[in-house]
Amino acid sequence: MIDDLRTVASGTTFDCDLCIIGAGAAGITIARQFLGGPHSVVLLESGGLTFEPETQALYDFENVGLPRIRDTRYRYFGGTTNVWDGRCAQLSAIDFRARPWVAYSGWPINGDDLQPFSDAAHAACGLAVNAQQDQLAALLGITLPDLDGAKLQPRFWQFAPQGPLRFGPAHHAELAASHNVRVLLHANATQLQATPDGGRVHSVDIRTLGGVAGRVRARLVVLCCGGIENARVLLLSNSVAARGLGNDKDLVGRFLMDHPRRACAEIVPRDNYWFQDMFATYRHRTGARLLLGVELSPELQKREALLNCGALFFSKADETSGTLALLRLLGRSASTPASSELARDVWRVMSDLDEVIVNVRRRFLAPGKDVIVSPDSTIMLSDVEQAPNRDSRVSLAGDRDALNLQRARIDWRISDQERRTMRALAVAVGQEFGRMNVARVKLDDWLMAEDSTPAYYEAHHHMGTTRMAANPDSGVVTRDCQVFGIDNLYVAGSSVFPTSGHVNPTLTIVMLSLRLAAHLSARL
Amino acid sequence: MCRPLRWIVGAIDREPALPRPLVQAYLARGGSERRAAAFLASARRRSARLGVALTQEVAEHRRADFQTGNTLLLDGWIVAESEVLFVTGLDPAVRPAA
Repeated sequence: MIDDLRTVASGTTFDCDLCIIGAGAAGITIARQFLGGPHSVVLLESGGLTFEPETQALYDFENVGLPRIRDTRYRYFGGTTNVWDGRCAQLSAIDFRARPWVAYSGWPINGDDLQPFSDAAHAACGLAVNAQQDQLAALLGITLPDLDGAKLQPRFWQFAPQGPLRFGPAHHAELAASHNVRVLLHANATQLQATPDGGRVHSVDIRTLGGVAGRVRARLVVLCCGGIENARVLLLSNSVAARGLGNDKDLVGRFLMDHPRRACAEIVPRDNYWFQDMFATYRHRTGARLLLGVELSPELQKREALLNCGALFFSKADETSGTLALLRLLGRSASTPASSELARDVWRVMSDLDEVIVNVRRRFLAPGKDVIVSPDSTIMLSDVEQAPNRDSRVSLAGDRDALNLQRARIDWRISDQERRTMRALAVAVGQEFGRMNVARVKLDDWLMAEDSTPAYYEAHHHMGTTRMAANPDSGVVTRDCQVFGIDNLYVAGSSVFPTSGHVNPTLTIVMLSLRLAAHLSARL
Repeated sequence: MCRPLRWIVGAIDREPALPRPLVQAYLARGGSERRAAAFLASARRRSARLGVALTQEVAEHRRADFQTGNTLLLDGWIVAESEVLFVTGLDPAVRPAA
């Protein structure tokens, strides 16, 4: 069922077996595992079913670290899956390992612990193909570039056939029809109330922006509020533990990571058509789209003490291309030519007939492939793993939000290891493309500047602030995502990642959530 | 931007390739014309001995350099040392224009 706290009498207490705080990818995934079961579940959502500016404003934060371009977290039913582009990939085996050259690296679990949940996670994300990286080329019927595996390896990212899965709309009906899972909209968790010894959470205080207050009493509680808010809620829950719940070791909010993102190099292909065809989006017969890029090999990471890093190649189309002109003339392009442009576009088609013919042939001989257009330029765009750093953190700011709760203060810090890693990847790409004689590579100037902190784009993947560890001296949650020292409090989402890898985190979030749901189910 | 590189990609088999600014960058950072001349002479002798074109001989060196990581970063471009030596070793009058 779907209820709204605004319509409930203030002071209401909701009793349940499991309280899930946050209805994004993690929270909805966990809640769905209990649909139709014997256990009662309350799924709290701060917002409504659609975007509301006043709720979104609760995410406003104070930034004291590296510049952040914009905040792309979304605070309504479905969370940030309401806007994500749906790109998914699994972490590599090396991402889970303790690496002597990466401080604080090493998960207390490995990829094998997540594999039992891989099929279900792919399905939950709407993905049609679940296969290992080295099996995907065969599934697609393609031959990969002959990269030197000691330096580089191919890397696929996958998109769902129907486009990005919006978890809110996709699962609204089944949650609304449920008799044991109650979604409570406009219910902001303001504080987790712990027993006097701090060993259990006995209830969750909730409140609407309009002042309706209540609480949820649950046997088990799971925080699923995202990489910044998970830490914030724990820090705000300080009625028993002055430094916040689970924060005895001053680790909550620390180790904030994102995927620093930046264009690293210009690529000059020998044959633009070959290059665009190879590093392209492939369509599997299921409709899945798989995007091919490259990543650093584990051997090179170890040899040069690098982080993990991947790259995609993007071509900026030459606007005078005959193919683009033809698409405009046929009304197949987003931009329809003005009448004054018609003659010019006809001329462009006529003067670029070789490319037009190539694409017409592709249309009939390779219908799943995109058109290829002479590029004005081709760039290499990289996402790099961020080295865990204690001083990169989320803490509480002095000013307060509309619920009178202290806002998050974000101090995002990046070391030089990330720049060095991106440079090594660009050099490896340059050497490999040179060896294969398929392209030349020019590194961007910023990669050479060793004495300055580069300006990165954040990928909006907030991770690490309640990191998973083998013991409470090293992290906030156990290998089962239980907050150390608090018997019934769990955390789901990318805030538990001890290290980030370089790939988009959602698929891993969903795998971890399914694993956690199985654990919670066994406990209830 | 060294646009001539767009022209030379894959073309070293046919003619001297690297544009002049990269040769100048190589020399400016201490590259040796004497070493380049020695490389060119050696490549000529070897190509004559094997009966292959000089540019084919240089292309083999280039492939090996990229494989082993024997590369230089000149104005941001990643180039094989052998191709820099080859072009630098040529008589300046033969080197490509910028």
